Amino acid sequence: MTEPLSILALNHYLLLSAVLFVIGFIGFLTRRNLIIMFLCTELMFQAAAIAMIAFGAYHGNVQGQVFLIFILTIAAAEAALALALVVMLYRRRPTLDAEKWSELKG
Amino acid sequence: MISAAGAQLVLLSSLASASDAAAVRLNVPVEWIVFAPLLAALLCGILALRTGDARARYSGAICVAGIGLAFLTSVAIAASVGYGFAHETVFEWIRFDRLRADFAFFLDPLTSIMLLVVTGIGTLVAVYASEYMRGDRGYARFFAFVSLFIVAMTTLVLADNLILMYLGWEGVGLCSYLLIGFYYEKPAAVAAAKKAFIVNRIGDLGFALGICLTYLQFGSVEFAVIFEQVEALRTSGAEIPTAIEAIPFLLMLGAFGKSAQLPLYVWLPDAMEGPTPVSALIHAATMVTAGVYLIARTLPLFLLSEYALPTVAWVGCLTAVFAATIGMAQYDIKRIFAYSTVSQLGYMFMGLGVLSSVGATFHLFTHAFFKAALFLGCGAVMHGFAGQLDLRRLSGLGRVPGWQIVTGSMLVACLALAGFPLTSGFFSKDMILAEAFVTAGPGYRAIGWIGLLTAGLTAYYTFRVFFRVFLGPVHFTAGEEHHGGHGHHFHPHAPGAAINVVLIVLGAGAIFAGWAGVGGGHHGWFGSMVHHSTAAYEAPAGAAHGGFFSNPHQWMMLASSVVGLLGIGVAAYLHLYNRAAAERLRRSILPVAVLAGHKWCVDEGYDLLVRRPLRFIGHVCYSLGDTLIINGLVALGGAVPRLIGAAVRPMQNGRLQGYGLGMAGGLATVIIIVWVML
Amino acid sequence: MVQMSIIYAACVAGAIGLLFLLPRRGNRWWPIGAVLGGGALGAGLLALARGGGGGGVDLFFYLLAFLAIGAAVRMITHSRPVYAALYFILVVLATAGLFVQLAAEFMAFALIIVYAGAILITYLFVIMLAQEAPDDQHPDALTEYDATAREPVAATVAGFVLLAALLGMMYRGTGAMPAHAAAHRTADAELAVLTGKVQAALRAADLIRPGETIREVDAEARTAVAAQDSGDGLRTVALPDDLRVSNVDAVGVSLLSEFPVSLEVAGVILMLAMLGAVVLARKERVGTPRDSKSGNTPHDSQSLIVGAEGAL
Repeated sequence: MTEPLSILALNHYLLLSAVLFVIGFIGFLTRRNLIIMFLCTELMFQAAAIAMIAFGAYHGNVQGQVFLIFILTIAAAEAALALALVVMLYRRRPTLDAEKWSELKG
Repeated sequence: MISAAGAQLVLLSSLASASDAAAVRLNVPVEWIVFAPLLAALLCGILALRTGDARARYSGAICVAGIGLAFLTSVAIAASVGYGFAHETVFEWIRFDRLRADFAFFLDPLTSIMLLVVTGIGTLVAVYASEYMRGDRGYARFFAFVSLFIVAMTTLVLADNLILMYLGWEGVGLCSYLLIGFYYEKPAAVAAAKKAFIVNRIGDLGFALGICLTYLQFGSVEFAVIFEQVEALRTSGAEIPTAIEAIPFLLMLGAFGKSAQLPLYVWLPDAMEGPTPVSALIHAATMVTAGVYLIARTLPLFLLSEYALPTVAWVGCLTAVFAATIGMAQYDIKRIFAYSTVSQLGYMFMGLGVLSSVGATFHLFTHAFFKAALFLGCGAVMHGFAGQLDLRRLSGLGRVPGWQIVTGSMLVACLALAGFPLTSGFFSKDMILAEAFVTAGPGYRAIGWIGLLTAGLTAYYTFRVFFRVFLGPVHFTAGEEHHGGHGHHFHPHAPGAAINVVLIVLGAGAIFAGWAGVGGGHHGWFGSMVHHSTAAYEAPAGAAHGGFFSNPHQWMMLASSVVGLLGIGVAAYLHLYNRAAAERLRRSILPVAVLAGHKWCVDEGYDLLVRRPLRFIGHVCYSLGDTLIINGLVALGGAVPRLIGAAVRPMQNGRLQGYGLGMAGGLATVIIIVWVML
Repeated sequence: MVQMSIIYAACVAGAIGLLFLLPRRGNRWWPIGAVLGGGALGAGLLALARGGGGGGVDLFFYLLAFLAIGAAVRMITHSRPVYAALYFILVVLATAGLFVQLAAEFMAFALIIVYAGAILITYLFVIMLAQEAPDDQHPDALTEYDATAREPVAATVAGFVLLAALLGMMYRGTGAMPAHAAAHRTADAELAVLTGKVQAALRAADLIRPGETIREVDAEARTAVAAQDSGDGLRTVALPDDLRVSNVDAVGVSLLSEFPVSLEVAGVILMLAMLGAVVLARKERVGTPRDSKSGNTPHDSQSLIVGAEGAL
């Protein structure tokens, strides 16, 4: 196993993680296509995954990686359900515009 | 507890005119008077709740046993108490600050008399009702209510303080309500029950206020303490505060409500919608006399005010004559006797007012017998003729086989009510009228003359019923409750053994009860009893038996005999020998007769003067207070969240990104707050 | 120490750059955005460089990070969903490269297989299923909701405020942390539980005889206790130097020994997701046999009620 990560290197990874997260978040807020919105959530998952692995490397253990397995699990489940929902909504009304579904509000 | 109360009672005994009054230690379980009927009420109530339980038919026997036991205990207590006093605490009830209201009994001769009347008549009526009510769906319910009534009434009578008395007072009111509305499927019965309850509320408000004022003025609601202070106040000769003078007027209002006096009498005639045994027990013999008992019990308080007893006397007198005039023009025999009850209660108040507490309680005592007999006789007629009570459709019942006992007891009771010489009503009425003439007071002599007139009217309308219904040619029509086919001939259903026995006993009482007030000393045994109670009143020296006649009682016996016989004679002419003349007479004074038949339009007057203004005020309050102010406030209360919602709603636009933006903003805010704070 | 002012300036520049890059009809200002975004990245690099250098981070990190960020920006700014998905694959690949840098080889490949291989393909399928052109004449025309961004200013401002706050907090937090995690566990500690792996390695190196099995492994001393099958004759064997714990071994041991319940829960979640996807995506068929029978239902329920009343 390689040398554990120094705090300086960790900062690099965390900065990258934060930037990716915010980009994903902005994408989620600005894009109106349901599929791209879900893609952006996947991007945020990626950002979280980088932070996990980097912290794991900093602490010199594999728990970060184990957590990533769980993240992958949730991401896969989320993708399956989200896409199923998209397909269902699209069948009901042939549009992927998130705003077109805003009458679901209470 | 008994010894402590005994000390108070020694003081109290100084009130009594006789010096031999003393606290008596009872060796009789006095609480059985209340608890035996209570047990019966519970048992009957359980049976009433278990629909379809065949054991419900025993509820009559249970009730008779419970009240009978109370009666036996009452007899033992009357014997034990004698002319003395007793006090018995069953359990501590209300102890609050200075307020002490225990579940405690105060026994004096007046209590004994009332207990004997209530439980005695109660037992007889229960026996009667066990036959009368047979086959009714609410058989067990009826006896549960009757037993409960006895519980409440004995509590009222036995109470040693005003609050316990009020408990019993409201208890009898409740039972009265329940029993008037016994046939709750009949709209008239429900309306009558409500009327009785609401009219009584007016009186009871006065009573409740009177209790409050009594407590405020005397610092106690216990009779012993109150009377001690009253005595001290009276002997001190100090000026009596207005607030204390107001107490008797408030109590009076309660008494007028419960005892159906002007202007609150209107509920009693309508109360006849209840089963007839109830009319006999509650609305003739016992409950309605609670007002008389209240005044007799708190007579020392009434003596404090110069105007209290004259007011009572005049109200009683006017009620007596007013109700008698209405009674003359009615056709429903039960109603006639209901107005007669109102009238006779007026007599009792008249008696109290003219300082003849003996006469008032004595009349209460005798009236209980003959009025119960009259109502139970009416009930027998109603029972036998399928609910027929119209004296125009009943005639000559005395000659129908099986009705002789009813006719006999009715005759006796009618004689007593009419004040026929040597019957019970004769003695008690004389006592009151004689005192009215001899007692000095505002217009008391006029009261006496009006009382005498009323005696004549009473004799007339009583025998109008008797001659119409029981004598004359035999013909009758079945009432509404007869459901036979057209070809089916109606056979009246003669009363059975229980009804006959009860009528015989009450008839005997109607004749002989009067002798209790005749004899040696001051008005015989009865007079002695009352003179040893809190209702005792010693006329100021020189005022009594002076000037007007040498012996007013003898004079009055003669006068009232003449008036009573005159009334009977008129009734005999008009309603037995020449019924056509009665019709002619009626037609010649038609407007008056119709107006009297309409109860002088009192109900309509109340409707116009009380109900409509109240409704109007109610409408105004509703439209102004409720609709505008309260609803407005409520609507305002509802509008505020709605406005906030309207302001905040755009945030909930249903767009996912909007929520995401909110989350990001929130997260950034939290991070910045943490950052700044750390 | 990293100069926060440069970081914040980079955030502002990045925000403005992203604003210009976000999709909009007839967007001719995107080069400005690209320049500003590049400037922001450069400023960030400058801040990092002035903040004490790489600390063990080599050039590959900068390359891969640049790739990831660029692909991510392109992903959210590209107006065609298919391209967005492809750019996302690029992000995944760059991330996987970073994972390799962090000695997480297994996760790197798992990421590529699961994300780039499975999830993204599903996305592409759905995009192709659900995509429609606004009119049939121009199949390449963009739909309105793809062509324009929604509230770009608010979202970008919120996002970059969040980023600045996150980075500010991060540097405060990590500044207080030790330069190296102090006590980290013994290298190859998992060997103690991987007796099978040790035994196979020893047998392959002919360090144990055929009748012997490994009873115990001392990872710290790098020795193993071998015993005869008959149960006696214990002896200690030194482990060969090339016997190392691989990344997969470490993850597997950690997963099974430290998080067995979470592993089970993850499995359940996956199964439920599969069921849910099937239920959601199933087409509701009209006029199923059950519907055609529904004419009888009221009568049946009524008779049931009558029956119940009879029972009462």
